[in-house]
Amino acid sequence: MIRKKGLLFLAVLTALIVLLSWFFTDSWLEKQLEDMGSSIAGARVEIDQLDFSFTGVYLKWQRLQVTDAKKPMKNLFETGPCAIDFEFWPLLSKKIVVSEFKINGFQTNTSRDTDGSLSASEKEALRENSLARKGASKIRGVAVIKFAEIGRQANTDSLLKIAGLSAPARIDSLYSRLDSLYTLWDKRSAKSNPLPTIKRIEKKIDAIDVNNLKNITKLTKALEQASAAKKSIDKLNKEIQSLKKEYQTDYRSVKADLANVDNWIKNDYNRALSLLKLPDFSAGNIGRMLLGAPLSDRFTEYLGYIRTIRKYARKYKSTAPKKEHPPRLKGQDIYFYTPNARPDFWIKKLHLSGNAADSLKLEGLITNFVSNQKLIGQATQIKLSGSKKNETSLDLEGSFNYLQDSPQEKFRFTYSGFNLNGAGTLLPGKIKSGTGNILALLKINGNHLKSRIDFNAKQLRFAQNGKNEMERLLFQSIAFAERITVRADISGTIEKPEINIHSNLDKPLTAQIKKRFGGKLENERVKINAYIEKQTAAKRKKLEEFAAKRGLKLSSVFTHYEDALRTQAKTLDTLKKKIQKKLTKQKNKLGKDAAKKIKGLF
Amino acid sequence: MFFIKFAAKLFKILRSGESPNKIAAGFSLGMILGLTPLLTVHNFILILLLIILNINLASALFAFAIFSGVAYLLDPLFHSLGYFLLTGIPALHGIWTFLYGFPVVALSAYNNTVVAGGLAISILLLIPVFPAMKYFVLYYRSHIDPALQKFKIVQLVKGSKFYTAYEKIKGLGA
Repeated sequence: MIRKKGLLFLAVLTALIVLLSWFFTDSWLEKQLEDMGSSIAGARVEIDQLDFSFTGVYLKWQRLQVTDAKKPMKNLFETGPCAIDFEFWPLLSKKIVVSEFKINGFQTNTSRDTDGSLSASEKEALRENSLARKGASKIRGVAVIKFAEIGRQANTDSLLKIAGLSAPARIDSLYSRLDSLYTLWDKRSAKSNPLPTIKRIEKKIDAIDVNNLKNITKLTKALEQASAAKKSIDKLNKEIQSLKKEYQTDYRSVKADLANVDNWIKNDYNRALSLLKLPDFSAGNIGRMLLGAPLSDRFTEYLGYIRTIRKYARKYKSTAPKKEHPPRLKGQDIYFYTPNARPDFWIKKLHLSGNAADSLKLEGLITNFVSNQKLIGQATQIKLSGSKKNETSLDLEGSFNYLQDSPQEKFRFTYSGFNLNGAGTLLPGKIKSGTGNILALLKINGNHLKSRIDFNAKQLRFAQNGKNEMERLLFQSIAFAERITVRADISGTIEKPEINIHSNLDKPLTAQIKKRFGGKLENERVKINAYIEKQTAAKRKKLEEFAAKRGLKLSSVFTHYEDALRTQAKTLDTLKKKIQKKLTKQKNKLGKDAAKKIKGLF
Repeated sequence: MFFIKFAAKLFKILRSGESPNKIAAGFSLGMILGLTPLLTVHNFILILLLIILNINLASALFAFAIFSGVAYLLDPLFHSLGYFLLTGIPALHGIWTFLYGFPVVALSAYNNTVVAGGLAISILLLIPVFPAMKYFVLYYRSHIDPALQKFKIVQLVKGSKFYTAYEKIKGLGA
């Protein structure tokens, strides 16, 4: 029953596997982790001297470098010696429980010895896997105008020709539509013309001479004829009323379309303004133009990370997930948890120590980073702090709470006294000197978010004088103000956040801009207005006159029909009354005569 | 050429002197290997059994090849059945939950819909397939093979490439 050769083969195979894994597990795992990290970071990730022990249940490495995708000769961050201590038994249940994860020597923005960029094929693979950017929605209401382009010399005439207006074509289209509609109504109203029927009835009625109707039979017949005619008139009236009602509905829609002409012209005007970079320099708009786009980009990126974390938290929480349609032979994994079970993934404590940019010493602790918080009854907490020579301090406190049905995230970030030298990502120019403070609060409950960001900077000096007149004016205003304070309020939903930014520069800068560029901008606006007016006025006038004329014509047709029907109905009513009166008289007379004759008999 | 080799392999198995039980056992285990995703704990155990026990390997490989194709075609059915077994029967929920927290069993990927559906179908098929295969081998050897040899068509085939290949393989197997 037992195959001896088979047993021998198995023994040799097992020995070979043990031997190979003894020598190659660390390098294989190192390569796997580096590839996985590179696909997430978008640039090369390198791990040095990885040491993994299944029996000792630990994973260690001496150095980890994550390249900055935008600067391949710099590391986004790197770490010194790190150690992860696993628990053994959960591994046999397909669970990873990390009792402690220590990251030492954390540093940001360090130099690299080699280029850390990925090859084209590696980047392509990364684009498909980038989870954080998937489904990210831009914050609404952020000006997309590039500040440096404001006030740029532009040839309004040539740009307007390139831009092309949509209103004239839409007016023409509406004209054709109205023409078809009115032609249709002309046909319908002609088809329903009641005048021939009225004439026929009139002819019949004229033939009835009430004075010549001497007996009851003739009178009764005449009354029946008049009643039938009245019935026909009433029916016609009903048809005309229903037709008129239909026409009025169409007429209302025509009126609404005509009212849209104003919006079409307004849209063309706004589009031309945006193409010519002629923004609205109202006080409320300056903050958005200054900081809106960079702030929106960063906020959107962070929301993307939160969405990703939520997605995975949901995946591991569900016990009866929706049926998916996986690729053939892959299937769908169903997760089964008991309230006392251990989660599939759990880092109990993650210690972080190192230096951030600007030599800021960092200390941090992340607790309960877990796949299913309900199983351990605790939320994930983040606490990070740093300081430098009592000048600069950083604090980040946050929590990811998925214990309730509605997920909640809370963050508070303060960064005070930091050096702005060389910073240039938020303001439209590289800063030469200055210090800044940031206080950011973010609270997300379910789909609703509320955030406030206060930023203030003082003694700002820019590295250059500004590329154009507009930038020079901005830098001068900031330098003159000595301190800038910006407040951003972000609210709404994760899918559609809305931003509102105000700064102390809003009013003075608006005044300066209006003073300096007001005349020029106004001239351009007038030019655009005149151009649009020239292109649309004649067409618009023609359309409005046409609509009014044809509308009036149709209304008068309906009025004429109604008048004729009303007159005829009135005539018939009079005739009926006259016949009725004579009939009653005849009946009475007949009654009296009959009484007299009966009396004569006796 | 592939089909000729394939048919030759089938004839070789059926006409070999191997016991019908061993052929049927190999065929049944090969069927399970083919119907469920290969890299799973239960398939690892089945492969170990095939190596250690004196079961016909050729019939196992033959069944694995056939049922892998069948599994690909029936994948949506396995997925639906697995989903139903894992989520649609409340009485089984306790067992699944117990197994999920049980060391080693949790590694078996039983909670995957295709694995669960495929394995359920395989186990159900095991009951008729083993005796049916055994009966078929016996019947073939006693009735079909002798009758086939008498057919004129077989005499014609004997002169063809197919027969040459068959003879070649038969010779190798001897």
